[in-house]
Amino acid sequence: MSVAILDEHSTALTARLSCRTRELTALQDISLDWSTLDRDLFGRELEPAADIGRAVVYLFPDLSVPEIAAGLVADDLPQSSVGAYGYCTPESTGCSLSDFNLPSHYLALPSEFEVGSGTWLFMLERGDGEQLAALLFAQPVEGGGIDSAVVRADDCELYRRLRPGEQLRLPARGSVQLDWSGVRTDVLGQPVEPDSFDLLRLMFFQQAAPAVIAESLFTLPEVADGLWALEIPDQTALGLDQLFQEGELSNPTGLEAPTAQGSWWLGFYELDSALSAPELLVRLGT
Amino acid sequence: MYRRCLGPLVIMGLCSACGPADELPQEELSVNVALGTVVTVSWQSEGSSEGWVEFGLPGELDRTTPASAAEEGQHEAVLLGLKPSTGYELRAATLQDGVESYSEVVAVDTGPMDPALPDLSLVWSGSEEVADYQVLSLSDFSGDGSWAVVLDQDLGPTWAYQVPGDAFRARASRFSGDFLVGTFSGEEEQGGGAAPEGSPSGVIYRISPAGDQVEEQQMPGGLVDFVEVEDGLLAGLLEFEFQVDGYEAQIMAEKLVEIDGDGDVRELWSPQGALELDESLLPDGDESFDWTHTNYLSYDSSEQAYYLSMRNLGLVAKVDRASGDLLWLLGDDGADFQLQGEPDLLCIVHSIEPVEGGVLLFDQTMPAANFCPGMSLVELDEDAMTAEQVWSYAPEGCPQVGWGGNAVELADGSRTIDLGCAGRIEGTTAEDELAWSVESPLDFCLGYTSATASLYGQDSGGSR
Repeated sequence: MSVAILDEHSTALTARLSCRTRELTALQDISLDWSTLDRDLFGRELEPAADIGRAVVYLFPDLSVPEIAAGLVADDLPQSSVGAYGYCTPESTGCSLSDFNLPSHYLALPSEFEVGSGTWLFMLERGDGEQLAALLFAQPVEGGGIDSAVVRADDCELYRRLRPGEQLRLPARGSVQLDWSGVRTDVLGQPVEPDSFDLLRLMFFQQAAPAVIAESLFTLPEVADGLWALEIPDQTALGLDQLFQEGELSNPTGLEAPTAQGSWWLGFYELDSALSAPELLVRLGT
Repeated sequence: MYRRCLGPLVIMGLCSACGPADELPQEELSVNVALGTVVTVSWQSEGSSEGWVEFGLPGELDRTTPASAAEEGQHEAVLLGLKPSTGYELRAATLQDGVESYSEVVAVDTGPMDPALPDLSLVWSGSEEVADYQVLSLSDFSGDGSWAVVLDQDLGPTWAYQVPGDAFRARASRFSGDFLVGTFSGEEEQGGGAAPEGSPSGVIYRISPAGDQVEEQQMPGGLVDFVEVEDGLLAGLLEFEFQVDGYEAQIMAEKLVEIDGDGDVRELWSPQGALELDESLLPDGDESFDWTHTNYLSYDSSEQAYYLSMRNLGLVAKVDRASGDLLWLLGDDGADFQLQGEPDLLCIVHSIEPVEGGVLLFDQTMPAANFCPGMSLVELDEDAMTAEQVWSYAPEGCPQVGWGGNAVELADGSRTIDLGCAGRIEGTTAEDELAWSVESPLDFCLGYTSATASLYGQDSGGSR
């Protein structure tokens, strides 16, 4: 039996990244210190020395902090919006602006940290750029003598509110073919091509409350009590049986196909998104 | 009549009545899809013969693989340049004793591109076709792997492969269907050898079209760029350092070498001794001094000559391959040339490609574009030793390239400009109008882009 996933089934997400801007003295070799950072942007615990593997700096000459924050949430910032770009592989829990470079290129970024140059963003990443951990926005200003910044967990806050769509009713028996060819908008209400999703995750949660889902929106696979995942490039339909047979059971709990009580969700993901929220999120029911 | 296949497929009993004099027996046709868009067809014929595959969109067998001889009658052909998730038709052809025979027509669906491949956005501004395939590299410098990507004439991805390290250059082999990808491995040289301590060591990967064979060639030192010269012979720019009397500074430069398939290196040319070092620029103490910053290498097989650009000197050079002699220098003040017209030619020059009648240059801060990035065509008269900039193009908005960037001329005379860490490639018409642009997502820099008319190797015989 084919079950159509439509826009009315999609959870609507209101996500907003709210960040403050540090004013730092222009034309200085600014030093960043994240030694006291104990949780990441998503609220997960963090060991600053061990977990932060890379820091990246971006200069956005023509974008404001809210525009950049919105672009990060929507994952639609092109590299061409960046005027300067470099990275630092920290030896401890900090980097100076002069440490940010590119292979075989010394960028001399302190001399570009000028008043009026634009919005500077420092992004701390776990491991080797695997996952975003913290953000710090900076604005070069005249004088003040402030040439260092301690990165704090509250430099940016990620607000999100979920409004679940209609539950997708599945037949209690028989094989089910999921068909999302009719989907036209993503969780943010933006236009989306139904064959553009890379990965489908079926997730089971003991806790059913949408507030719990909202709280963990960016880490759903990690907190799910049951998880099946299958790559779905260029696809708009999939048999649920196929997901159970071929999908990687990442968090086995002894659960079988969706008969257990609890909350079942389908998450459609893109793999190269900076923020790991689903592009489409659908709650299942029977 | 045809059959459709997804993935491996074996078809028994090829057609024996679909061409003139087609009685030669053929027994088995096997079709495999790899990397989403690479289709490998193999079949057996009796005795030695030539074989190829004709293919195209349904009802259009308008493309062929190069014909190749099979001594034992075991044929294999690789179909390249296909679009992902698209239906095609194909038939195998065999030529034996002057008689052609064909298999029945088989349908095959290509698969999707690797879902982890970063999405490239495309904007057309003019005619919606490009003369050549674009071969580019994408890296986020995370050390977590980067991509070699081939875009077809519609600028859609037709081949992609993820390699370890940070890729700065991808090329389609001139002699086979392989792809060559140059990377920084992420491992730093420890010093003590010729390469400066801390410079990233280089690796060149040779990848078969289906991705099932990957050879790795370690470069002895920091690799800056490379070009394929002959089948199995590469030329590269390798970093080295030296000192001069009276100074503690470590002077960094790059030398031109040739590297054969065994990894043996032959030094061809070095700026040390050939160019004058302005010692007044040397820093005090034992700091490193990035003297030449030679960053780009191209090769003209008809002239048997190398062209290279030296960013920090604002110079480009031509080196004779046979002798290793420096043939000329071209720079802001002309250097060995008498400049005609525009007096300011070069500033932070970042690529040079030989083109008919001159060279195509890319400059990160082109004087003719108010020191914004741009490309220019410079006509050279190597007898009279005159140079004149006759054409230039600068993208709007003065993008900050930061790293990489180059310019290439395509087969139809149109040109492309790669803007490195500004994450954009622009294609122009010969009249300097923007025709298209491709942008990378946040965090992905473009390395050097190259172009090729054929993915089967320009010197391998091409299409039948």
